[in-house]
Amino acid sequence: MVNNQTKAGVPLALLLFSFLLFAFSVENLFAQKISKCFVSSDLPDGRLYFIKPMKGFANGGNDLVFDITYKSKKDSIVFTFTYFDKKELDIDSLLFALGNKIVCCPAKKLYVDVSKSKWEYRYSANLLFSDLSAFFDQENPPKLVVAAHKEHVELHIKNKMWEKQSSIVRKIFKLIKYN
Amino acid sequence: MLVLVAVMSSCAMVSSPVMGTLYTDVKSPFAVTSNSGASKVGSAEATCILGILATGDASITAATKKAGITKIHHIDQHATSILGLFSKYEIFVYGE
Repeated sequence: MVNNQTKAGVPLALLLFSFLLFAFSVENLFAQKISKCFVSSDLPDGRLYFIKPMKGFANGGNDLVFDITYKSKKDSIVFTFTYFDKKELDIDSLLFALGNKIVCCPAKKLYVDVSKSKWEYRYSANLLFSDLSAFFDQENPPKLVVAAHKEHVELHIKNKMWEKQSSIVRKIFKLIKYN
Repeated sequence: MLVLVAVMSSCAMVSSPVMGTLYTDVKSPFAVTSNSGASKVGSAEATCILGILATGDASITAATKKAGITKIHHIDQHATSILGLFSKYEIFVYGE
Protein backbone atom coordinates (compact mmCIF):
# COMPACT_ATOMS: atom_id res chain seq x y z
CA MET A 1 0.00 0.00 0.00
CA VAL A 2 2.74 2.39 1.05
CA ASN A 3 4.77 1.40 -1.99
CA ASN A 4 1.86 2.19 -4.31
CA GLN A 5 1.48 5.63 -2.75
CA THR A 6 5.18 6.30 -3.21
CA LYS A 7 5.05 5.18 -6.82
CA ALA A 8 2.10 7.50 -7.48
CA GLY A 9 3.88 10.38 -5.75
CA VAL A 10 6.93 10.29 -8.02
CA PRO A 11 5.12 11.19 -11.30
CA LEU A 12 3.17 13.85 -9.41
CA ALA A 13 6.39 15.40 -8.11
CA LEU A 14 7.88 15.24 -11.60
CA LEU A 15 4.78 16.88 -13.03
CA LEU A 16 4.94 19.65 -10.45
CA PHE A 17 8.65 20.14 -11.08
CA SER A 18 8.09 20.32 -14.87
CA PHE A 19 5.26 22.80 -14.38
CA LEU A 20 7.40 25.06 -12.21
CA LEU A 21 10.27 24.86 -14.67
CA PHE A 22 7.89 25.73 -17.51
CA ALA A 23 6.43 28.61 -15.51
CA PHE A 24 9.88 30.06 -14.88
CA SER A 25 10.86 29.74 -18.56
CA VAL A 26 7.64 31.32 -19.80
CA GLU A 27 8.00 34.14 -17.31
CA ASN A 28 11.53 34.84 -18.51
CA LEU A 29 10.59 34.57 -22.17
CA PHE A 30 7.61 36.87 -22.22
CA ALA A 31 7.87 39.17 -19.26
CA GLN A 32 10.66 41.66 -19.48
CA LYS A 33 11.45 41.85 -15.83
CA ILE A 34 13.01 45.27 -15.56
CA SER A 35 12.91 45.04 -11.78
CA LYS A 36 15.91 42.72 -12.03
CA CYS A 37 17.84 45.25 -14.07
CA PHE A 38 17.76 48.19 -11.70
CA VAL A 39 17.55 49.21 -8.07
CA SER A 40 16.27 52.44 -6.57
CA SER A 41 16.41 54.11 -3.23
CA ASP A 42 14.45 56.97 -1.69
CA LEU A 43 16.76 59.47 -0.10
CA PRO A 44 15.98 62.76 1.68
CA ASP A 45 17.31 64.67 -1.35
CA GLY A 46 15.55 62.72 -4.08
CA ARG A 47 15.24 59.26 -5.55
CA LEU A 48 18.34 57.46 -6.76
CA TYR A 49 18.11 54.92 -9.59
CA PHE A 50 20.86 52.52 -10.54
CA ILE A 51 20.73 50.45 -13.71
CA LYS A 52 22.85 47.36 -13.17
CA PRO A 53 25.95 46.73 -15.31
CA MET A 54 25.23 45.95 -18.96
CA LYS A 55 27.59 44.72 -21.65
CA GLY A 56 27.45 44.40 -25.40
CA PHE A 57 29.48 47.28 -26.81
CA ALA A 58 32.76 45.93 -28.11
CA ASN A 59 35.50 46.31 -30.65
CA GLY A 60 36.99 42.91 -31.39
CA GLY A 61 37.93 41.54 -28.01
CA ASN A 62 37.80 44.93 -26.32
CA ASP A 63 34.62 45.16 -24.28
CA LEU A 64 32.82 47.93 -22.50
CA VAL A 65 30.61 47.34 -19.47
CA PHE A 66 28.48 50.22 -18.24
CA ASP A 67 26.06 51.10 -15.48
CA ILE A 68 23.83 54.12 -15.14
CA THR A 69 23.03 56.21 -12.08
CA TYR A 70 20.24 58.77 -12.09
CA LYS A 71 19.29 61.15 -9.32
CA SER A 72 15.86 62.72 -9.64
CA LYS A 73 16.84 66.03 -8.03
CA LYS A 74 19.79 66.67 -10.34
CA ASP A 75 18.07 65.25 -13.43
CA SER A 76 21.42 64.18 -14.78
CA ILE A 77 22.94 60.83 -15.53
CA VAL A 78 26.24 59.38 -14.42
CA PHE A 79 27.33 56.86 -17.03
CA THR A 80 30.03 54.76 -15.41
CA PHE A 81 31.94 52.37 -17.62
CA THR A 82 34.73 49.83 -17.57
CA TYR A 83 36.67 49.45 -20.78
CA PHE A 84 39.04 46.52 -21.35
CA ASP A 85 41.87 46.92 -23.83
CA LYS A 86 45.34 45.49 -24.33
CA LYS A 87 46.60 48.93 -25.29
CA GLU A 88 47.63 51.60 -22.87
CA LEU A 89 45.19 54.47 -23.25
CA ASP A 90 44.77 57.85 -21.69
CA ILE A 91 40.98 58.13 -22.00
CA ASP A 92 39.63 61.65 -21.91
CA SER A 93 36.02 61.35 -23.11
CA LEU A 94 33.21 59.13 -24.25
CA LEU A 95 31.27 59.94 -27.40
CA PHE A 96 27.65 58.92 -27.95
CA ALA A 97 26.41 58.73 -31.54
CA LEU A 98 22.88 60.13 -31.81
CA GLY A 99 22.13 59.81 -35.50
CA ASN A 100 24.16 62.55 -37.12
CA LYS A 101 24.81 64.25 -33.83
CA ILE A 102 27.66 63.31 -31.48
CA VAL A 103 27.41 63.96 -27.76
CA CYS A 104 30.84 64.25 -26.21
CA CYS A 105 31.16 63.68 -22.47
CA PRO A 106 34.41 64.27 -20.63
CA ALA A 107 35.37 61.12 -18.73
CA LYS A 108 36.59 61.18 -15.16
CA LYS A 109 39.03 58.47 -14.16
CA LEU A 110 38.03 56.26 -11.23
CA TYR A 111 40.88 53.78 -11.52
CA VAL A 112 43.01 51.81 -13.95
CA ASP A 113 43.67 48.19 -13.13
CA VAL A 114 44.96 45.03 -14.77
CA SER A 115 42.52 42.26 -15.68
CA LYS A 116 44.24 39.12 -17.02
CA SER A 117 46.14 40.28 -20.10
CA LYS A 118 44.21 43.53 -20.50
CA TRP A 119 44.06 46.95 -18.96
CA GLU A 120 40.85 47.72 -17.09
CA TYR A 121 39.88 51.38 -17.41
CA ARG A 122 37.13 52.52 -15.07
CA TYR A 123 35.73 55.97 -15.84
CA SER A 124 32.53 57.95 -15.34
CA ALA A 125 30.88 60.50 -17.57
CA ASN A 126 28.05 62.93 -16.82
CA LEU A 127 25.38 63.64 -19.38
CA LEU A 128 21.86 64.91 -19.63
CA PHE A 129 18.97 62.54 -19.10
CA SER A 130 17.45 63.68 -22.40
CA ASP A 131 20.65 62.87 -24.32
CA LEU A 132 21.00 59.36 -22.96
CA SER A 133 17.29 58.83 -23.43
CA ALA A 134 17.67 59.80 -27.09
CA PHE A 135 20.66 57.46 -27.39
CA PHE A 136 18.61 54.47 -26.24
CA ASP A 137 15.59 55.55 -28.34
CA GLN A 138 17.52 54.76 -31.52
CA GLU A 139 16.24 51.76 -33.45
CA ASN A 140 19.51 50.87 -35.13
CA PRO A 141 22.45 49.92 -32.96
CA PRO A 142 24.46 53.10 -32.38
CA LYS A 143 28.14 53.33 -31.73
CA LEU A 144 30.04 54.48 -28.70
CA VAL A 145 33.48 55.96 -29.07
CA VAL A 146 36.13 55.83 -26.39
CA ALA A 147 38.30 58.84 -27.05
CA ALA A 148 41.87 58.81 -25.83
CA HIS A 149 44.53 61.47 -26.38
CA LYS A 150 46.09 59.69 -29.33
CA GLU A 151 43.31 57.54 -30.73
CA HIS A 152 39.59 56.85 -30.88
CA VAL A 153 38.14 53.37 -30.38
CA GLU A 154 34.73 52.75 -31.97
CA LEU A 155 32.54 50.29 -30.10
CA HIS A 156 29.61 48.51 -31.72
CA ILE A 157 26.79 46.39 -30.42
CA LYS A 158 24.99 43.46 -32.06
CA ASN A 159 21.40 43.99 -33.27
CA LYS A 160 19.75 41.48 -30.95
CA MET A 161 21.70 42.66 -27.96
CA TRP A 162 20.79 46.28 -28.73
CA GLU A 163 17.08 45.45 -29.10
CA LYS A 164 17.06 43.77 -25.69
CA GLN A 165 19.25 46.32 -23.94
CA SER A 166 17.61 49.44 -25.34
CA SER A 167 14.10 48.19 -24.59
CA ILE A 168 15.06 47.54 -20.96
CA VAL A 169 16.67 50.97 -20.54
CA ARG A 170 13.77 52.71 -22.32
CA LYS A 171 11.31 51.02 -19.97
CA ILE A 172 13.31 52.06 -16.90
CA PHE A 173 13.61 55.63 -18.23
CA LYS A 174 9.81 55.71 -18.71
CA LEU A 175 9.42 54.60 -15.12
CA ILE A 176 11.77 57.39 -14.02
CA LYS A 177 9.77 59.93 -16.02
CA TYR A 178 6.46 58.81 -14.49
CA ASN A 179 7.87 59.18 -11.00
CA MET B 1 24.36 8.43 -6.72
CA LEU B 2 26.19 8.98 -3.45
CA VAL B 3 28.51 11.47 -5.14
CA LEU B 4 25.54 13.33 -6.62
CA VAL B 5 23.85 13.51 -3.22
CA ALA B 6 27.09 14.73 -1.65
CA VAL B 7 27.48 17.43 -4.28
CA MET B 8 23.86 18.56 -4.25
CA SER B 9 23.66 18.66 -0.47
CA SER B 10 25.84 21.74 -0.58
CA CYS B 11 23.91 23.21 -3.50
CA ALA B 12 24.26 26.86 -4.41
CA MET B 13 23.28 28.50 -1.11
CA VAL B 14 23.17 32.26 -0.97
CA SER B 15 23.03 34.64 1.96
CA SER B 16 19.48 35.91 2.45
CA PRO B 17 17.13 36.63 5.37
CA VAL B 18 14.62 34.20 3.83
CA MET B 19 15.32 31.35 1.43
CA GLY B 20 13.11 29.42 -0.96
CA THR B 21 14.07 25.88 -1.92
CA LEU B 22 12.86 26.34 -5.49
CA TYR B 23 13.36 30.04 -6.04
CA THR B 24 14.80 32.98 -4.13
CA ASP B 25 14.74 36.61 -5.24
CA VAL B 26 15.15 38.69 -2.11
CA LYS B 27 16.40 42.21 -1.57
CA SER B 28 17.34 43.15 1.97
CA PRO B 29 19.31 45.71 3.95
CA PHE B 30 22.92 45.01 4.78
CA ALA B 31 24.19 48.10 6.61
CA VAL B 32 23.49 51.77 7.23
CA THR B 33 25.73 54.59 8.40
CA SER B 34 25.20 58.07 9.83
CA ASN B 35 26.56 59.74 6.68
CA SER B 36 24.01 61.91 4.94
CA GLY B 37 23.16 61.88 1.26
CA ALA B 38 24.08 59.65 -1.63
CA SER B 39 24.60 60.39 -5.29
CA LYS B 40 26.58 57.34 -6.34
CA VAL B 41 25.84 53.63 -6.41
CA GLY B 42 28.37 50.86 -6.75
CA SER B 43 27.57 47.19 -7.22
CA ALA B 44 29.53 43.99 -6.87
CA GLU B 45 28.49 40.38 -7.28
CA ALA B 46 29.47 36.76 -6.86
CA THR B 47 27.86 33.74 -8.51
CA CYS B 48 27.71 30.04 -7.78
CA ILE B 49 26.83 27.21 -10.14
CA LEU B 50 25.63 23.82 -8.87
CA GLY B 51 27.27 24.52 -5.55
CA ILE B 52 30.52 23.52 -7.23
CA LEU B 53 31.87 26.65 -8.89
CA ALA B 54 31.75 29.96 -7.07
CA THR B 55 33.38 33.08 -8.44
CA GLY B 56 33.22 36.85 -8.08
CA ASP B 57 34.06 39.69 -5.78
CA ALA B 58 31.03 40.84 -3.83
CA SER B 59 33.02 42.90 -1.39
CA ILE B 60 32.11 46.40 -0.25
CA THR B 61 35.60 47.46 -1.35
CA ALA B 62 34.90 46.34 -4.92
CA ALA B 63 31.56 48.13 -5.02
CA THR B 64 32.88 51.39 -3.58
CA LYS B 65 35.89 51.30 -5.90
CA LYS B 66 33.68 50.85 -8.98
CA ALA B 67 31.63 53.95 -8.18
CA GLY B 68 34.33 56.07 -6.57
CA ILE B 69 32.48 56.17 -3.25
CA THR B 70 34.37 57.49 -0.24
CA LYS B 71 31.45 58.01 2.17
CA ILE B 72 28.97 55.17 2.47
CA HIS B 73 25.33 56.02 3.15
CA HIS B 74 23.82 52.53 3.16
CA ILE B 75 24.28 49.08 1.66
CA ASP B 76 21.61 46.74 0.28
CA GLN B 77 21.97 43.16 -0.80
CA HIS B 78 20.13 41.03 -3.34
CA ALA B 79 20.10 37.25 -3.29
CA THR B 80 18.90 35.14 -6.21
CA SER B 81 18.75 31.37 -6.36
CA ILE B 82 17.08 29.05 -8.85
CA LEU B 83 16.42 25.49 -7.67
CA GLY B 84 19.64 25.68 -5.70
CA LEU B 85 21.46 25.13 -8.98
CA PHE B 86 22.36 28.71 -9.74
CA SER B 87 22.73 31.50 -7.25
CA LYS B 88 23.86 35.09 -7.32
CA TYR B 89 24.69 37.47 -4.52
CA GLU B 90 24.85 41.21 -5.22
CA ILE B 91 25.57 44.18 -3.00
CA PHE B 92 24.69 47.79 -3.75
CA VAL B 93 26.61 50.49 -1.96
CA TYR B 94 25.06 53.97 -1.87
CA GLY B 95 27.17 56.97 -0.99
CA GLU B 96 29.13 60.02 -1.99
